[in-house]
Amino acid sequence: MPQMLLYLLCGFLAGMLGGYLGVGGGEIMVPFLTVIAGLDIKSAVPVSVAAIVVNSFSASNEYLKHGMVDLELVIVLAIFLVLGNIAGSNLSMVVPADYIKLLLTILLVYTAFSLLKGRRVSKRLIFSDNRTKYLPVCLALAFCVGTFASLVGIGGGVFLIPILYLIVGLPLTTARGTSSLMICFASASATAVYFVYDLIELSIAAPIILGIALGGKVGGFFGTGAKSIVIRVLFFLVMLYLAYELARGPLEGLV
Amino acid sequence: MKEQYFQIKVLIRLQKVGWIFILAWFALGTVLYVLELSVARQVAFWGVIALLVITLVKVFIIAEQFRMARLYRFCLLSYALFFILLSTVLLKAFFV
Repeated sequence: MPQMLLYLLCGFLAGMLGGYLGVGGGEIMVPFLTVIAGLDIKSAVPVSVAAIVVNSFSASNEYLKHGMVDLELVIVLAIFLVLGNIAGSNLSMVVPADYIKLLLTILLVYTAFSLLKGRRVSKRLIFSDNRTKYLPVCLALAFCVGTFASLVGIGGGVFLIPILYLIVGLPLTTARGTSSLMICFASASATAVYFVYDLIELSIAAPIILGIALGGKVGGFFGTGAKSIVIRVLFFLVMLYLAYELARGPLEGLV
Repeated sequence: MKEQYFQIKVLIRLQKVGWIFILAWFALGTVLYVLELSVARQVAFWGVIALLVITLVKVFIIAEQFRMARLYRFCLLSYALFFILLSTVLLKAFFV
């Protein structure tokens, strides 16, 4: 029983932190579940991917309500994102856990520095629609993002939003909304692969998914405004600590 | 785009109900695991199935919205996505 409550609490804290910071998905969840709850990364990744599907239900709803989702783009890119996710989740069965940890560490350090820097969005007034011009590039990128995302147990928003904003030319809020709905389909496909291969540990999935979904809602509620520099530095340090703990094992093995 | 003709409310309602249902289902699963009842595994198992089914229903709704808006190319692409998702489970379940 205490173990169940620990998983529930860890899921809640990871979801709340992710929701509060607006970094979403598995960037926080997988390191948190690995370092704090003591799960093996190959158990944490499938649970995180399943939790992302649940979280994306509520996240994409907010954007849908305000008409900030480009459904045509969702469908076109989601096909390649899903194919990438299927490839990535199959790949994760042969890639050693240490490599997955190192990939996630790099992503975590990148997210920590992005958080510290804050969101400085250029005030673009004219949005050019490049969807037909750069479609092949976007499809290839969506496949690569999907592969990487399911390998390390993240949604992929950290890459998809810049692709939609900088390459396709969508407004930032529409890019976020479009990405959140795409992530739902992509993570569901990865969940399906992990589920069929029996890689989702059901005994830990129930409390963690419950905790993450509740925590994500609470964190999202409190994290709508801008964060002060003190909070950003605090979370920057937490994320660097998680990155250090995650990379320590694999790096010691290399030395 | 003809998205202004879409009945987005259907999709929003499905996601809202789906989120609450999944949350309640996994809460039940957690309680059963805490009580160490053997049925807990079955509950968690069907919870993951429900998650995948809701996602498939979402794709189906989007496909039908495209069909009603006479955006047939996107309707076909939506059904392609539907079958890719479905085949992920079916192919692996029956041939792996």
